[in-house]
Amino acid sequence: MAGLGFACLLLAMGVCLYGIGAAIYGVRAGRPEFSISARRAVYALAIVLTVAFGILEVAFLRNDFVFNTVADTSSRTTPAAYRAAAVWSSQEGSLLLWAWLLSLWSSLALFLTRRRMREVASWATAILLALDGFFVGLMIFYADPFATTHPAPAEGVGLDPLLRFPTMMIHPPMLYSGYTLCTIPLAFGMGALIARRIDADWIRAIRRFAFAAWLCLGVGILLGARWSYAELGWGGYWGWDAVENASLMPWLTATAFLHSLMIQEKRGMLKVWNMSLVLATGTLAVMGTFLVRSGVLNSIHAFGGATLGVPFVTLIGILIAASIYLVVSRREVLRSEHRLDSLISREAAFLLNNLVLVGLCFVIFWGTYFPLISEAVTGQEASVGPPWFDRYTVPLALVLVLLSGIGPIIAWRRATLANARRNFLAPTLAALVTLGVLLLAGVQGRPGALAMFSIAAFVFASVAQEFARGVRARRAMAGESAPRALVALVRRNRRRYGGYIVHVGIAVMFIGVAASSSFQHASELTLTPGHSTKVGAYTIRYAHPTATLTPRYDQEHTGSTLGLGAVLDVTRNGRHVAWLHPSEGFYAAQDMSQGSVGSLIGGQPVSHISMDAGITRDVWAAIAPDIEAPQLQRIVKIGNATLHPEDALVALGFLARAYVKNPPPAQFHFIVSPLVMWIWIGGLIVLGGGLIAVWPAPGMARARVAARVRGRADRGLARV
Amino acid sequence: MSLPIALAALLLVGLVVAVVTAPLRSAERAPAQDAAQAAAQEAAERAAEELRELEAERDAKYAEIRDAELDWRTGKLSPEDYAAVDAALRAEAIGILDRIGAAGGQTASSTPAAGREQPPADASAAPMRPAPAAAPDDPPSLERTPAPSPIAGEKP
Repeated sequence: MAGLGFACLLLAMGVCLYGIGAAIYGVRAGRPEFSISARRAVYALAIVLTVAFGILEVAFLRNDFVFNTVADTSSRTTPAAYRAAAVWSSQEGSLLLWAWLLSLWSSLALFLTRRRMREVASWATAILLALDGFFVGLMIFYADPFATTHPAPAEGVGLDPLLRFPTMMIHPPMLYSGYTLCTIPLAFGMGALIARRIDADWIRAIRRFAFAAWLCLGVGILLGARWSYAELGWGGYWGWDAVENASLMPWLTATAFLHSLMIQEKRGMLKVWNMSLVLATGTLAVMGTFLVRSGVLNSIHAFGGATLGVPFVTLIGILIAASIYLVVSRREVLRSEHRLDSLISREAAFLLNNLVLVGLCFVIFWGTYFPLISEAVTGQEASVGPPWFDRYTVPLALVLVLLSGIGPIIAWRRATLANARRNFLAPTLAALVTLGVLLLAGVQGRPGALAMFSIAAFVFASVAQEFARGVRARRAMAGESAPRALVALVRRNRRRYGGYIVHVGIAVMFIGVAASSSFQHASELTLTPGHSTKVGAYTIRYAHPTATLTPRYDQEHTGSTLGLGAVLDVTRNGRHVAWLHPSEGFYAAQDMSQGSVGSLIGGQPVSHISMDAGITRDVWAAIAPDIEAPQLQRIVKIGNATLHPEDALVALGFLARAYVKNPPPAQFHFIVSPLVMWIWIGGLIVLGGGLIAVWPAPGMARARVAARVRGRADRGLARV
Repeated sequence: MSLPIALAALLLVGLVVAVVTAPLRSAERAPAQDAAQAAAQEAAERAAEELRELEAERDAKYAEIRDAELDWRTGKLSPEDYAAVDAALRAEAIGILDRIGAAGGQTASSTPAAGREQPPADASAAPMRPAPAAAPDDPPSLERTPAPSPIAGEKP
């Protein structure tokens, strides 16, 4: 089967090369049958890569350790669901996932545009096949997912314990969907520039895929933040890690693009800006993949080690050079048709919003790539940490959220000062009242957080005002009840009101971010059973230790050999709030150098945090038990000296009992974070608003059906 | 590679070749066209593409007209500004419809002219008068004195 898989890769490369040639020949020579053949090559590529992906997936599910990727990232004891997801935990498997997803999204995009933009679609076909061919080439020459070892090992290494978490099963596919969807507008943008056809049809086609990319990237980023918070032992959801930043940058430019595209659609302005954003978003998506896969920057996420840096840098260089060349050489078709009518207009607000988003992207880009650039120039490693990022991103984030409240209450084209004063009154009052109430309630000392809360109140009030006025207008026009008017208003203006809901979601998320980062209480200390500590308003008492041995007690399927932990009693003002059960998992080492017993627990330990999550706060706990304590190490030494590997688990049983009976002091990390849950709730609101905005309007759906019926009737009449 | 796998590989290659070459084989089987016929077909396809582009422009302009009305009815535009913006947008839309007509396409504008309702002096204070009955998704009428449409849908 591995041979068939590699044959699929070779076939895929052949299809890509043929398709590129056919697409270019078809459009240059005016031979539409070749353009259609090239499009079908994309469909065929999707079929071939689906077969290839299926082969690898089956190999994982069947524990076929002949495949090197299966042996390196899976094991017989890995639960089936995690085995299925383990396909993309390796570099080779993730490259295959990228190529496969790109072929699927490319097929969809070209199918949806098969009757439109012939010339543009032909060039886009060539570009998409070139990108896919690049990834297929990486697999053929650098990182073969179908490489085998004979004889096959009896057991695999197993999945990285950090990846044994439900959200990690969906996080990479969502993120990769986002990255690959970003390349669709890139390809259609380049195609439009080559063909010199940037028009309303192109806007309509490209917006859908840009939105889908934005949505998938956003969900992927949020899932990654959730994994970081709930699984990793540091208690945070965003660390300005290089790989986190790599996914945020294209999301920021895609957000800017979705807003400024509206201006191009309405006023024929910002064409150069929009095209640059489209090309930058696609290039940043490829650069993000480069960061993850080449391991060029240190990151807890990056686990790729192959020498993929040179091919990636070459591709990124080509994309940047081609983008600049196309925009400069086609500037006559990118000329604006109108000018800005007024600085007090939604267009002006969107422009400012774009500048802030791109500014944010630039700051993050500089902070992410600076270590690499510095090392290249000076030969010395440099690092840029969260304080640097926070210093520049927090003010920009405040402005961004404020603009998200201003945009909805200001008109397109022009707004008078009198109108603006009337529309701004209630939201401004809401912001000031919120600020006043918070100050009176004693919330002080955090000006950034206070500003964010006030600005969020401004956003809520402005969106609520928009909904209220829209419902009132709808009721006056159609005589409907308020609930019906609301539903009809949103149904008939999905982009507008879906967008408003997205803004509310973003404001809610930033409330959670501001509160949890500014008003967090944290404590790191050593405790013995029976002792307690105060963290914020909560008292946490170390009730008693726990110990578990796999496989019987490993209900979380962590894969650990031994788990040592604690039961914690959380109280507030003497009243019981929650029980927490943090633990640390000790895993088997790769080799037997630590002895028969030592090797069973000599691998990298992984913290399994415990959390009581609530609407107003999360109480979070992690433990680092002292397995080096003399009384425990004595058991390990005796076991190493006297027990064979097959009996070594007996010694761990003694160790576990000893830990529970006479536990050494353990290191604890406690965090009480207010309003963290609102980050996830805000994310769901953003997702909901986004889906509303992108859903086809009812009239559109009816018109399409009617058009199809008319078409069939016309063709029927023609045959008579 | 075992025999079943080799057969599977051949089958896959055959499927790919069949899918990819189908348009080329269809073109070969089609009756040969002379240069004039080919040029006429190419011109017809370009005209159809241009018409699609104009229709996309038209739909975008309709959405702008509805957006402006919604801005006025929710108090973001003064009556004077709305009148000016609406007039400009409708003039642009009429220009697009003229170009569609010249390109030989069908327009969607078929609402008969009706008395135009003047926007109230203060959109937030004056009561909104109900609009004449119209289907919710009709495109806005572009005659000089059209009836105002209800807050209609926008295209995604």
